[in-house]
Amino acid sequence: MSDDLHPLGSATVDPDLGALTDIDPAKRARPGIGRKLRGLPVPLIIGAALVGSFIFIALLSYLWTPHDPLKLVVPDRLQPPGSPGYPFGTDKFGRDVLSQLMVGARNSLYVSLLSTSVAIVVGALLGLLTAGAGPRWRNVFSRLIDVGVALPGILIALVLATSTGPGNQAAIIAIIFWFIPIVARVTIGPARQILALDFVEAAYAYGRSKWYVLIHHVMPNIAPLLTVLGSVMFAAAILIEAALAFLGVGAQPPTASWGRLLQESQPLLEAAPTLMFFPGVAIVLTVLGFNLLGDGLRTILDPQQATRTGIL
Amino acid sequence: MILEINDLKVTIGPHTIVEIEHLSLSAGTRLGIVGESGSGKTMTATSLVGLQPNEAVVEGSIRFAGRELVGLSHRRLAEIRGREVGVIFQDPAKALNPMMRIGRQVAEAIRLHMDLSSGEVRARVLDLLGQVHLPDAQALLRRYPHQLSGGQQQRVLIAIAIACDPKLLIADEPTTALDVTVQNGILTLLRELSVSRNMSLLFVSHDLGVIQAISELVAVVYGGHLVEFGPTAQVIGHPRHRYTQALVSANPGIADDEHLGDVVGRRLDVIRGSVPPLGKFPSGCRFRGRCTSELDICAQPPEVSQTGGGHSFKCWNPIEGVDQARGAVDATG
Repeated sequence: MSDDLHPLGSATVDPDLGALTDIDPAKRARPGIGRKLRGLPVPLIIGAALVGSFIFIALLSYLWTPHDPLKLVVPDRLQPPGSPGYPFGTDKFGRDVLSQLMVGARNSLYVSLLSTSVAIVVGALLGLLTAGAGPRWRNVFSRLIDVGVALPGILIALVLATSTGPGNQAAIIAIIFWFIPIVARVTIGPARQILALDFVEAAYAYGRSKWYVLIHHVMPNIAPLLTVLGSVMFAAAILIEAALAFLGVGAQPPTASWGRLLQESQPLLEAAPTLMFFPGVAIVLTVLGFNLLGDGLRTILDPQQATRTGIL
Repeated sequence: MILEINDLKVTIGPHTIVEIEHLSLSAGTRLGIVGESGSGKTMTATSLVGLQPNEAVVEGSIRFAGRELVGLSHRRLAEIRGREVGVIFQDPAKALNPMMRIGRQVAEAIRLHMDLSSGEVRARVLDLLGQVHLPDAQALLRRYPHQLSGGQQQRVLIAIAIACDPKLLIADEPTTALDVTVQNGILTLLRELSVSRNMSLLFVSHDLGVIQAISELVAVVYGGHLVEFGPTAQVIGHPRHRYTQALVSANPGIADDEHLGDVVGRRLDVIRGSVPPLGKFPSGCRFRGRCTSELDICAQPPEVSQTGGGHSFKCWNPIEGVDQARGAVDATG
């Protein structure tokens, strides 16, 4: 059990000097992989499994799908799930739903990954700069960011789509602009907290520049936060991508997207309700997976908790 | 003189926070700055090396190792600070970056100011950790600050502060956040380092006992004014200024074994009132209003009185000194 203790918890010697003697990691038994997994929070494991399968399916779709997702097989249209050769059934043109879902995962991954990573990087830099700026500029930037947060994102997306034309590109740009102010807003507070600590003052005192301090001292301290935020935003991006596709401003036919699958199934709600079921479940599971992953990451990325569970 | 202050004045807006006519420190000596919270002791120490808050303005003259520091650019000051002046902060938990391993944090200061290969830096880090008596330095390099106790963290900070062999170490209440037993270890270490490296130490504390344990000289600060200065034993043993006396009699710990009886069971004296807020200090002697031996003349700014042995104070109505009393006896006899 001593592995689970805080390293200093088992110190019995002089509290100031002797405590280091019994925390040599080499002397501690290395936990096996099973033990390691057991130490992880449950949401993290479930989330990672869901996200892992999502990414696997999306990548697999490049290599293999049961059928050509775009091939119209009119005699086989509107097959119920479980029909021979079509485990999830077919749509009104006789396209295989499973194949379309797999390709749709790819589209979700592409749009969400690109938009979330750009938004996190740009938003975090903006937040760091705002936190590090002098009081006047900080106020100006903060208020501008507040305005950005307050703007209804879906509206921007619709405006963008009408001006640049619908498609994945419009969705990506819309999500980026939607997320940047949110990331910046979330970054500013913790970054300012870190900037108020003595080690930052010490770094300045030793002659480090503001930029160096922001990147080397503040950034690592808010990185766990950004990782968690990234995971949660990824989930939101998947939802938004689907929503935009559903509204007709995201992915355009023939690109398969979960949102478009939902939209196409809508008129057939009574005739073929399962057409709505599968993309819906796919969205729910993926979003749930990313949210659980973010939750789990938050637990373990705290360095104090991480050592307790033996992950680092 | 490693450090010489003349007519130092630190102001924030209309308020004068610190006003010190003269204070000097020779190489290798340990000076304690003592005073209540809000008396300006930290401000005095930080303004010496340009670490005062941005809105504070420093005027006068601070000569450090032959160079004038007042009016130097931020960049030049930072260079001097990193290389020749070490600074230790009050709360070790806040002064270490929680996301950075100890080894890298110690190496940071060395890399910035010394041109060494990474192997040499590593060797130096290990050597420094040894000098502050941290055992198993090798393993320590890879630890994060939270895995260390408060005393160990403070030792790491001392290692960082002395990394570039400074001539002066400024310690702002370095033991206040620590347990009393650990406190002693840190004080011993600081004294030892000061002696072995001939490094001056400027030690800020509100705790007379701690000051007594570490410093040879003591400067008593009240309302930003230096009210009494001299060898520690003399100032604390025979205070002349009324404020110093009030501080001493408000401290339960100062008594040798002989006088223990006087301390145990004694009702502790308190200084009446509290330190006035910024800008509300009275004119003349700043201790006016809280002092029990106030005279009318105290409304005038007090002059500096010198007594033997480098002891000086600024009080219109000082406590009679031992020398003076003895002198009086000599004159009559």
